[in-house]
Amino acid sequence: MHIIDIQIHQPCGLLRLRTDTELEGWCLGVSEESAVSIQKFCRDALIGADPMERERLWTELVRLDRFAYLPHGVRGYLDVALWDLVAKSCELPVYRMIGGFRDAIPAYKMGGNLPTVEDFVQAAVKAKEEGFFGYKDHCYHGPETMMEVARATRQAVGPEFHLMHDCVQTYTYTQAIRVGRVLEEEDYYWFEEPLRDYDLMGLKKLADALDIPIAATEYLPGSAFSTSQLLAQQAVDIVRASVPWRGGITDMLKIARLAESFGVNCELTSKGTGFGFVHAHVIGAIRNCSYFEATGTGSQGGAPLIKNPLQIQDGHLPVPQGMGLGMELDWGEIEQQTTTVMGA
Amino acid sequence: MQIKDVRIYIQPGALQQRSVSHRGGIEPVPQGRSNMFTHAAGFGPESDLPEGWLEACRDSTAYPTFEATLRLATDGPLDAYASFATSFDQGELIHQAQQFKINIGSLLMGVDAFDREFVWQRLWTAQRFYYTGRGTIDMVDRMLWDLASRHARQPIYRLLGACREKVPAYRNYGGNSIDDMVAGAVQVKEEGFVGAKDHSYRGVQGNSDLARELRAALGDDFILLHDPVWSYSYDEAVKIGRVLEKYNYGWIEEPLQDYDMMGSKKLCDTLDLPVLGLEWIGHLGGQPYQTAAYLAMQAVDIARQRGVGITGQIKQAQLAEAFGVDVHGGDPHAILAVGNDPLFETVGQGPKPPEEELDCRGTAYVEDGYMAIAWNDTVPDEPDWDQMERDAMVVI
Repeated sequence: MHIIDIQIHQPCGLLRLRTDTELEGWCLGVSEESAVSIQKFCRDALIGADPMERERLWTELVRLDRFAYLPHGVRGYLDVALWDLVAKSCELPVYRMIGGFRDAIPAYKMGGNLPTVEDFVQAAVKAKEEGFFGYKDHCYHGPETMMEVARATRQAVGPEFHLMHDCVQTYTYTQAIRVGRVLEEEDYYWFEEPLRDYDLMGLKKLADALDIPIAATEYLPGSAFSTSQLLAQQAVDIVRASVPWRGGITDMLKIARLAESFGVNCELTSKGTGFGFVHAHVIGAIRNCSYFEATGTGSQGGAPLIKNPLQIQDGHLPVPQGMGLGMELDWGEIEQQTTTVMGA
Repeated sequence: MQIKDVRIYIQPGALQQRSVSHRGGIEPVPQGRSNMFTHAAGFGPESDLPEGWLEACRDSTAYPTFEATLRLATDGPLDAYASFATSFDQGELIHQAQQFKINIGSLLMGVDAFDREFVWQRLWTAQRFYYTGRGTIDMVDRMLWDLASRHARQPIYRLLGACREKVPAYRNYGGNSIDDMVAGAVQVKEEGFVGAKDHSYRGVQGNSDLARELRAALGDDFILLHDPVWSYSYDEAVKIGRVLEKYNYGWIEEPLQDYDMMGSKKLCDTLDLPVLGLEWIGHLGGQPYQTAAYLAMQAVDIARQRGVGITGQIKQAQLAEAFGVDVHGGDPHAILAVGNDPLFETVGQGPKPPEEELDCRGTAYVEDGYMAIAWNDTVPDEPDWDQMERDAMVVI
């Protein structure tokens, strides 16, 4: 089997690796900027290639990343489509092509930057009622408000429910320490992105100082190569990663296995590319990730392009069992949402 | 494809001599401060045991053996299977099989045969509690990869994501004198290998002489590797390291014990020559978890690949890759699936087999100085399990 074309439907963002067989590999969610780069810089590497040579192609795409100044995520899109393709050709779901660990993943709910303390409390209570195992806020109102949120939320949800705080790089080191101590008192599960991912020394000092696990590296460039440096310094307690920001499925596995070797969890963020399908398969194949990050109950999105969107059931995300990523596409809908097909 | 039963078949094996091989005496490393000992095979001195002392316990009788085959029966068209063990003692083998079935087999029942990560993680914990060591995980993981390979009709290295089709190979050599050693290395070069590795325990002076003679005889482009297996003190390792740098060696392997993490770190800092280690740590089952600490400390420049099973070897290789570090050794399939295992250590691989002997599992071979895996899409026939049930002396 060889790749004969890379077709990208815009604006719906469907990438199709076409082969000399009936099989094709898909990635959904490709931006126009990335689509242009893929056609301009990556065709030479992929056209004519045997898709089973994923690791060779990954190495080539890492090289191009630097030499062609590829936009964030280009490698991720192509790598996802390669995995979808090879797993289909081996008649396996992606997670079992990798080596399965589980077929259902516990989920927590994440929420936005809500207006008031009471809104945060109610959002967490609702998540608990919906069957989620935890709730993660994105509170950017500063340390004073957050400390209030933490105290009131724990009071409302009781002791068993996991709470996480994500301030997305909005604290100084001193503020992070103060908030962190309150999160410890209220038994939070993790403290996410308190400082910039680039602030290696600040993160290390914070991880040393606080008992609560510090989660970071969501936005760190450099895949496993840069993550290793933070782990060696013990600058993070939990590694965060997602497709396509930090690469493809191959990158996620490398980062997760690296973290595993250090006894550290790799928690995948958000639904990422493909409305959660990609992350479901990665988490389905690794031990050291505790949760799928969901935005709500029921469908995780993608309809009507995807005929079988992921569904949260009883607080869990079942890993899709179809071949490859297991996405069923509505071709009529894709045609309607396609004005251009970039390709040969 | 769920694992529905764990069965072990015990059958008669071939008659075998039960002799114990003598690997040479354990002797001091000459002319140094380390006061380390090594086994003397390859350079002497001869053992000064009383005459006939060793021979007295040799036994040329051929005894019956018993062979056990492990089968993980699934509800699908393919089962996972492998040779479980061979023993001279049927009772002991039965006991070993029972122990496996109860402790490990019970953990595999009902598990999907493609859930390799789940099995690997579960058995990783089980090895601690049952003190099984790495062997059990290694065997089961390889069986499940083998099943996946037959399912997909392709060799394991392609399922892992092939990175390369072939990799340069070297071979080990030995000899009782420096002249013998040089002749041995020249022979390796003539066979087409890209390099040669000694296991020479001659101390700093002897091994410096050896390095000088080897480089003179083999020319500038041939890769030379030195493996003294723990036979130096730290300062000796620095001394020999400087000599090997002068003669452009590829690496020095296990100059110090793996346990000496601080010494290894200092040596890596001091020498330009790459220091290879962690074979012993790996043998004990400490990879990839202990490797992480060595890499974080920069206490190893090249990490020996002794990851547990194919799954563990990929973990080990990818961990090292994240630090820009190469691994060395491991399964041919794992080697071809990663970009950071650049040199193959030839141990018993022959030339490419004829097409009719190949199948989808692939066979590693060494030819023209390269290791590659030859394969086609033939799926080997499943063993005749009904006949095995009938013929076995004992079925566990």
